[in-house]
Amino acid sequence: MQDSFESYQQFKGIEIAKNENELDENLEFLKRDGYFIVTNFFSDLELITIRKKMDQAWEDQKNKYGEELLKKIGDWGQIRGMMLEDEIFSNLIIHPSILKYVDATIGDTAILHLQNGIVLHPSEKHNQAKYHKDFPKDFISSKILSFNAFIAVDEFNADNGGTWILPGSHKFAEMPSQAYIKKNQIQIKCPAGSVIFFDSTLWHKGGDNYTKNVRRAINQQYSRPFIKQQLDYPVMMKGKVDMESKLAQKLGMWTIPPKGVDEYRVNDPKLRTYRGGQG
Amino acid sequence: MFDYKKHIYELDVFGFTIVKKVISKEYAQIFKQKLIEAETIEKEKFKDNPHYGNWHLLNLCTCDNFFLDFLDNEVMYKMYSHFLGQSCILYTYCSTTVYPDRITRNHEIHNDAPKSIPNYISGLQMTMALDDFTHENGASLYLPGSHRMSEKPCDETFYKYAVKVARESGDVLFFNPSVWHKAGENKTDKIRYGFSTYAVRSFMKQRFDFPRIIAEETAQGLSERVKGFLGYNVRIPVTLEDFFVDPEKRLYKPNQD
Repeated sequence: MQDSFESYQQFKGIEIAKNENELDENLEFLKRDGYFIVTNFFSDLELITIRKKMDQAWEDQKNKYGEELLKKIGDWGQIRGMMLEDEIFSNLIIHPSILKYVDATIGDTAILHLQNGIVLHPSEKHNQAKYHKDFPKDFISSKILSFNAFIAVDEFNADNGGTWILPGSHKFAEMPSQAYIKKNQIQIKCPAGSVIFFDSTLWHKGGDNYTKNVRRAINQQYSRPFIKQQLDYPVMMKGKVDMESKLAQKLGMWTIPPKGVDEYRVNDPKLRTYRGGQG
Repeated sequence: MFDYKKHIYELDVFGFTIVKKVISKEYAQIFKQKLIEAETIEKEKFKDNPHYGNWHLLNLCTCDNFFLDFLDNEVMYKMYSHFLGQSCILYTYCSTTVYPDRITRNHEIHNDAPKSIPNYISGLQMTMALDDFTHENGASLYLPGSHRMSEKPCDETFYKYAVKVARESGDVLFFNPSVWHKAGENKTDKIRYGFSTYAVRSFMKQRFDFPRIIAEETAQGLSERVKGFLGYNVRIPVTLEDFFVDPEKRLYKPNQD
């Protein structure tokens, strides 16, 4: 029998959450559970290209910085500053279907906080394997300040280290107890090409990869423009991006603190390094 | 005497508090003279710039090294670190000069919290009186308790309940940027001098990129506390080489907010 609104008790003054389309539905999940998953985001062909470019980027960074250093600083399997490596990663930052949710949660002035590739190696210890928040603050805001689009480049399953999360834990600043975690954690399982969207204050951890293959993912975190980025993308990408483009805005190129009064008191406020109306 | 608990209470309940005698009147006069000198230089520099109309010095950090000394002030640091944590950083450090009969947008009812986070203190401001701030020369009006109001109060409510924060030179006003307030008008024939510092949480961007604009030799002479307050412990790496180092060597130090 189909559920109907008659199954609710009605209370004067208490509204029913808006749920008229896929966007509404996903935003309701985000609000209540702290995450939602959208499948079939990328085609098989797109995934083949992304994997190839990721593997190349990882090889390049691994060779450049060395296994010893990367393991010592807990960065083994992490590709940083991906947009420097290939245009395909820049395009992921401004993917319209991702930005649809970023706009709906943070607003269209949101900027990229980070874009990191994750190459989860078989049987390797990694620094994401402990429960954490990607925006670790000692408070909970009623406005979303930071939001992740976590791209499953490979399938996520129980064997290859699908991410563990605690649904609803974005509503609490304190770390949940081990007993609570054990009873309530769930492991994300989704096909390759899915995107797991979550509030950056959701408690989560990477799983362990028991297979013989790497499991790849790309973590894109967006935040309000007054929050510092993980890396100085405006400097790193200077001269490589059209300053009036959406990509430039998302990279934080419209919200750069000026390096002096000369940069602030320009003859046209539109030329300010931190533009008006960005928040 | 600095009654710390009283000021914390007033900031929490009213959204602002006055702390008396944070600097001496003599030091306030020296500070004022330095401000006048710096303003003279900046007025000349920006005389042809149409956006330089209110003669405020926007960045005291680079006007004169004299101004950096104040950033080690004990009272200021204690208040800021109580609300914003010990890793708090400077957002802006500017003059608050009020000219006779000059009206600016600060004379409208406003708050200074476009970057506010609901139910969380993300910033705290301080204005220092370098002259006596009186009812006649432009003491500002603040609406007690209005830091809890997201909506701008109507004129009737504001003028009925707002208070003028008159005080003597050397006294400071700390206020939550979310408090609704407006500048007072200067009805005298003398310029009224003051300055302002605004601190924010360390994960937030500063109004100016202080660590990159303060000369290296100047930075070397600063205390670790002042350097931290200027944002030296929370700098963003500009290359992957800056990032791929031992955490203690990173530009963004561990264990900041």
